[in-house]
Amino acid sequence: MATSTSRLNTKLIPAPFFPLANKKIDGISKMSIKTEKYVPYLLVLPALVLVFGLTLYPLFHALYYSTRDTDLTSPIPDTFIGINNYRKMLNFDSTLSDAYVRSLTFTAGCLVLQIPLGLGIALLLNRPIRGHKIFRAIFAMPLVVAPIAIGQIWRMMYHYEFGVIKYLVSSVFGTSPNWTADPNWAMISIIIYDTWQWTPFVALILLAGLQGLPPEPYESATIYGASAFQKFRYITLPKMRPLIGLAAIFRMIDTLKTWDPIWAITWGGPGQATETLSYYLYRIGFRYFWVGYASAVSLVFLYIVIVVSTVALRKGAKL
Amino acid sequence: MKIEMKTKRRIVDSLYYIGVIIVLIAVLFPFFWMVLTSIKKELDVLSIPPKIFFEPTIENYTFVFERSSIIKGLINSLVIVGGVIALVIPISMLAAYSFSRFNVGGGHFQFYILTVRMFPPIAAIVPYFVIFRNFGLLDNIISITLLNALFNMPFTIWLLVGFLREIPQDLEEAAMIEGASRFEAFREITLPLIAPALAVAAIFAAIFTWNEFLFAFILTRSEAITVTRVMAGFYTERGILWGPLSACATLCTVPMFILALMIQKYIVRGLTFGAVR
Repeated sequence: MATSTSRLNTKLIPAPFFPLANKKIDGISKMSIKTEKYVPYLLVLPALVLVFGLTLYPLFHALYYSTRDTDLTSPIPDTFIGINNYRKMLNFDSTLSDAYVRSLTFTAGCLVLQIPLGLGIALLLNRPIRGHKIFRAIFAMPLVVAPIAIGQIWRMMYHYEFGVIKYLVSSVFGTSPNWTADPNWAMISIIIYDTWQWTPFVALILLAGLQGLPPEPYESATIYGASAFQKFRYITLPKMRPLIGLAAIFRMIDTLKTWDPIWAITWGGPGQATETLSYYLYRIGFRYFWVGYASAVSLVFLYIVIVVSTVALRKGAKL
Repeated sequence: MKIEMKTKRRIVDSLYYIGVIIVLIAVLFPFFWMVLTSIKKELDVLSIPPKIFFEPTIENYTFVFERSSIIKGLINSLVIVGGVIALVIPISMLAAYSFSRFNVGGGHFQFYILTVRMFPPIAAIVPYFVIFRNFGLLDNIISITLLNALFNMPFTIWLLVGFLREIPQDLEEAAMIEGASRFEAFREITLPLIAPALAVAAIFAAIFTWNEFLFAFILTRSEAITVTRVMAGFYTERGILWGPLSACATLCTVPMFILALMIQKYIVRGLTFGAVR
């Protein structure tokens, strides 16, 4: 308390700032202590109402429908079917298990490409070459574009007839895959797009980390004659591990949720080649309107994503 | 020896430049192609091989303004962005103040709010659709604004908590010892200091809301369509209208670049919820 008062006397805050300052009150009055007990909760109340209202209510709603055979296109009223929706998921739905595999492929592919590339770009930008601030600003551009806008541009660039990517690749390598028109390449196309959009995010996180590294270990390593690669391998990489983990967690959470780019680039096709779990949910929910089954799948998907993300965040990063 | 060092350094520097330029081209090329296509005639868009030199036209832009609902979309998106900011910023500021000064809920509330960030919107969209249908709020700006507010809130709260923790609590305590109430201390001392952070949070919320597509796609049809919904409407029976689509994408992307430049310093901090400075 004494320190606080002395700081006030250093003229940090001019006296006429507070109209009540002239009232002689010893510290904080009893009245304010009593209200202070509830104030913290009152302050978070609006936020919690919005969050609880818009997350828990839909959850219970989904829980209710997940036990029914609701189909919005069917004229027959829905009935209670217990855990049959969940049983269907486990036993008969091969489209669903394929979607799980595709989601995992997508997430793994994105992480494998984006983390090393991001680290490379961060190392490039870490050197104080002229114009590095402008470069940083340009690298951040993909992060603020709507996937639906730029994703559809990528769809055009990937086009199997007039697409510029096909043209460029075939003029360099002599031949080119049909990208989004080829079931074997469609997922790769979306992974490349996601890498284009989100590698800058990884790079900027890691760049912030690189710039905060202390210079001393590097200086002594230079004295002992360490090579640039050794410095990277034995100083930079261990020190950057927590941030690399954080970037990977953020990318994992987001790639599991990815929906917009898939709509923008392939509509889940060709066939079902790019139908990840989130796109599959859209199809059964809004093309077929199987609300009951979609609710059950949603709940399981939600559970998996939240548990995986929470565990990763709690373990990997001290948020 | 010295000269050798200098030339070596120069070589390394130019290698770095080459690397940076390659990455720059990769980053910028889709934007370049978007703008280029937006001023191409339809035949030039479809030409094989793709054309870089052609006779430019503004017909795609006139098409977008005359034949698509872009104006309605722009107005709706602006209203939704305004609504989200008006809703999210005050609510988040109060909650963030409470979290940073009183540690309400011992971190549990704050973590619960963070789980919304992990919440895949697609997993909740079926219940949202049914609920809003029951309330008659489909194709309504209110439902879209509420959902965008919800999904922006974890981010704004966490960002503001981070900024608030940087402001020494002593300042407020000193004012309170002088007799100011907590509210006065907040209004006179903390609020002016946190104002830039509020602006940063508001700009982030504006960018995310503007770019939001899933809710707009599923919950709006004609009255409440947003710019992203308009952009999804350029496919016809004879294929996608690439020219107008590119023009529309260009129009809706440029404002985001301007906003992003304003918060350039905070992009990393914002996108990582304040975990990385």
